[in-house]
Amino acid sequence: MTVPNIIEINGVSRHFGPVRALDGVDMQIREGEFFSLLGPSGCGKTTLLRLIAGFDDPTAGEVLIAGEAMTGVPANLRPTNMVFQNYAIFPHLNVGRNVAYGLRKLRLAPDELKSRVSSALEMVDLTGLEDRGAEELSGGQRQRVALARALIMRPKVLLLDEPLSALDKKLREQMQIELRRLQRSVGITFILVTHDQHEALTMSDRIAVMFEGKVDQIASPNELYERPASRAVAGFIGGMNFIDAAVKKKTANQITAEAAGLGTVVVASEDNVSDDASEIVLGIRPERLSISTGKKAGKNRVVGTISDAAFFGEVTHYYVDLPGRQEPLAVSVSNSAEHETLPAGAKVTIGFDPKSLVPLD
Amino acid sequence: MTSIPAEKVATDPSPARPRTAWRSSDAAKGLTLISPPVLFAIALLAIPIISTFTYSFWTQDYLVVDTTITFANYYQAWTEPIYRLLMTRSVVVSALVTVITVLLAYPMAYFVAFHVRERQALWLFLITIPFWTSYLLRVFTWKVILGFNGVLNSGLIWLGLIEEPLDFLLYNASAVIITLAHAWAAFAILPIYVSLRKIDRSLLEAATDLGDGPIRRFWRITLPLSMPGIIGAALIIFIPTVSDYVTPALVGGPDGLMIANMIQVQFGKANNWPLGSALAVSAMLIVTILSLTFVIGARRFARSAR
Repeated sequence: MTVPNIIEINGVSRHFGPVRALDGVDMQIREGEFFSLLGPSGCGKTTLLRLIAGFDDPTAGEVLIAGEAMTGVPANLRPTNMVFQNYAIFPHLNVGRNVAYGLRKLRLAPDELKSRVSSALEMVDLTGLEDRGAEELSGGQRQRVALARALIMRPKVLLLDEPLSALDKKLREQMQIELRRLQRSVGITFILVTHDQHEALTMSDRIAVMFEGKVDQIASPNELYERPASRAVAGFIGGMNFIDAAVKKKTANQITAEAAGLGTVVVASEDNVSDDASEIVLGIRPERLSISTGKKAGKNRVVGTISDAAFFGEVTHYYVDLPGRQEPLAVSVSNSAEHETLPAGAKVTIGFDPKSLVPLD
Repeated sequence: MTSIPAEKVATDPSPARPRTAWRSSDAAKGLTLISPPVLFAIALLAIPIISTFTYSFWTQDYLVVDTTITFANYYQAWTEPIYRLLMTRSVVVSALVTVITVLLAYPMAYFVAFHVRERQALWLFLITIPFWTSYLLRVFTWKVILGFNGVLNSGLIWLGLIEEPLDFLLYNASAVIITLAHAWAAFAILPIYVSLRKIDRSLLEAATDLGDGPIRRFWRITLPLSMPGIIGAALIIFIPTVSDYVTPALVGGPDGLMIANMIQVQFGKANNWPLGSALAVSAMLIVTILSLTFVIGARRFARSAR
């Protein structure tokens, strides 16, 4: 099954004086997918979104939407609509007129306009709020109005610029689920800009992780989490233990290495590890490590001492000192009924599966 | 005072207490702070207005003021053709001055607010430079420019465009309009600039995103949202210019005189304070009604944008 690309970004750069906000970005976004641009602030994700919307022009490269080059096409003629970070609700217009704003060009009959507006409001659970003034809306309602105002245009692509960052935590989590459901039901391609990894992981079909104007990896949430392509990606998404390792033997699909604190391990090779690397970094997620009391070292088991513990509710993080390693290893344990909290200073055995070790640069 | 035992203080139902509390209250502090300007305003604004209002119902015969209440002055002010003419001319001239000034000021304010990226304060400062000279001097300057042997006429003759100096430039209502529009320009630019600056740029992007080109976006977003500045500018210009008497006296000639010149005559040479007061009160009333109508209309326009 091949889904056509709705957006193609070909070698796009955007320089502001000496600052390279975007530096040679290539990206293909498929029709109907929920795509996220994830990265820390200043990584260029918003710049890229604005280039797609047409509010800014690339210094080099081109943007194609539905196969058409967008160079020289102004924002008002592009088949995209945007939900702004501050929602940009027109303060002098009521909800109905805000939502109907973009339809004026179509010169619809009043009845038709009315029914379109009310069905757009219904879609975002604001049924019957047409006459509400823009200043009387709560943060969550403003966001829904902004969504309705953009979706009523039936854009080919909906662009969302950190739409949830202004909401409180509970409302944000609720909106994440709603946005996802909305995207599935309308079938429009959504491009979400966010710096929140949880938001990107829970909502997206695919995520592009960006650092300093470059794309480090484009992958599904699962793949991004399990097989991060770089140390930066691995550190940005979820928790990750980084372990220095010396390569002892490398074949086409296997690396045997001496990992600090873990001993000799055999891991599957990745493309991003160069053939002549002698030192590599291995990553392992805290929840892929197991912890048990007692000292039973052996194959894929090492003994250490708990230096600290942090209780998070559903999980507890233990920080375990291992001989041969400076940084303590983070171990995440689910607080199930069987789990008994271990005290700091306890001797424990850490177990791991070599398959969970990811070789990084 | 000698020391009082502690228990006595505690039980004593002191009558001075509420007073002390009031003196330290916010209301008292506020009133103390605003009392000098309030007294100033009462002395220089309220008393003159009340006395003008009172005078307008009296009559005067040379030096004798008859304090019998009468509407005779108002009857005269509203029926005699000369007063009606002057009143109408004042309103029309001020309205034109207001419209012209706002139309000229808007693009300037727009330019500074949207297209000057750095040093906006410097630009605003430069705009105010012409207003460092006295109002009278600026009016005289226009006399020099528009006069029979003035800059404009000499220039046009030198260019060979005309043979005789144009005599319709000075001493009429249009000279008053030109001079006033120039004199009040800065007062129009500033409020419009402030209201344009306050417009969130993402609103303009949102309008573009929803399909508006630059012109449509201006009518649907920028203009309605800058309406408070336009209203402010219009009132700041309209209200004082209706009652301006310096400019009409200097550049207006007989055909450019306005109601304020007549009020001045009544309080001066004609020595009829009651009639002058009635004219002044009538002018205030008309200005108030017109201003309110304008404000309501402009607000309605801003809300009706779709």
